Amino acid sequence: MNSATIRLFQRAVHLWLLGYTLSCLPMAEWLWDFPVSPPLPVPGVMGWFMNAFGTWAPPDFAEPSAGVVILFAAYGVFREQPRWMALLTWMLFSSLVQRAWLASCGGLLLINNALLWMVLLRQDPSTKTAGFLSQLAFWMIRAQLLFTYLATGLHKLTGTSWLDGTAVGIVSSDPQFGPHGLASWPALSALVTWGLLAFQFGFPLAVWWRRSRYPAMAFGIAFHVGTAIFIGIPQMGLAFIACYALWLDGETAERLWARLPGLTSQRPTVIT
Amino acid sequence: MGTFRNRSIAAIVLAHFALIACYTFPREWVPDRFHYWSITYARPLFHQGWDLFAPDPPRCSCEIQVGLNDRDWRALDASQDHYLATRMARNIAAYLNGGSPLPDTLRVDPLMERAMRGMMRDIGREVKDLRFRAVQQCVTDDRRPLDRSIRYVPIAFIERTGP
Repeated sequence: MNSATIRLFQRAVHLWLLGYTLSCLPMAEWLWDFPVSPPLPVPGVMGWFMNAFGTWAPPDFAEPSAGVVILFAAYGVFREQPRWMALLTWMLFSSLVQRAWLASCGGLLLINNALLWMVLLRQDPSTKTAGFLSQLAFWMIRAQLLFTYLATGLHKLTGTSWLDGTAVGIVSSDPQFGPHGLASWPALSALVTWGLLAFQFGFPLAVWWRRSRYPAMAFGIAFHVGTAIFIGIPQMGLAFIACYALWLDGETAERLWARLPGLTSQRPTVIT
Repeated sequence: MGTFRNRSIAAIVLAHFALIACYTFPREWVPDRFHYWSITYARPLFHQGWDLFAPDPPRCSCEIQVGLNDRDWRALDASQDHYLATRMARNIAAYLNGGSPLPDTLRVDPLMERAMRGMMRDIGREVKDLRFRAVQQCVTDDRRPLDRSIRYVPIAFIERTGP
């Protein structure tokens, strides 16, 4: 567990959070003030944390809360958030997502999960307990990314069109998606279908070895940029790409960290 | 100490993802008891679902439209050129099961009626006689997905019975 890897990941997730929340502002009325999404309760006591605007917080606080998330995310880009700030960031963001659930997607749920574990994830944990919790959070987020690909791959095995190679042709010919030209080339769209299936099962294996990790990540970035352009869910693709940072090895992360602008005096250290 | 710590972390991570697997894996693979345990564990804090375009991508493209007058119709998200407006319009269509061929008349519950009227706020969300329809373009042969049949399905709202 290298602190440069953790810091890069924290910065990537907070950059995503900053960009996504800023992009929501023109739609604030639709998302939060007078939401299109009907109220959807979160069962149990956790509703207090994850559905604040449907439980204890006045609905009028939703839009100002987006401002707080933007401020906290901007802080997280420059420095490691203290735990209280990380907890508030997760709580406010998940409550905003809950209030606008019709605009949600898997990428937001992935970031929601990551933000929760990031309360425990520390660059330099000060005690043994903090170190244990930080390491636990590190592996939870790492495993979540792999699990996501595995789960979506397994779902596809229960259908027919991913196995017979027609799935990408069907998606790309959908007038709401694309690229439409791909459906005119059945052999190519079958290759892309099977290639995506192989990627979703291969990625959870490939990231464990340095030689295969970076080609898999490069393919993943191309895939997610493709979904951003043709499926119209840029927030989802970028969320996955942000989470790739936690799978960078220490040496690569330190090299990347050194190339970033010196926004902070915090220097990464290696935790043993 | 280090070995114990690593094993403890591995055990917690494995237990966590065993429950998340029961929550997210294809329903027919998970015994009922484990599925209900997993809902109790995962739904409040770790809710997730990874079945986009799975098990199969939707055979039908579906757009919900509103009637502006006797002849003109427009898409739910037409008034807002923003990717989240498009996302909401698509999710409403998906919620109404627009990915599969719809019945001759689509009956919509009050929950989604509210969402659809909310998308039409520039016309007036309180206008009662707004007409909606679903426009479906369905694949008839998976090997020739560009050949799609078009259907126009009128939408009727289910009367609210409770308070």
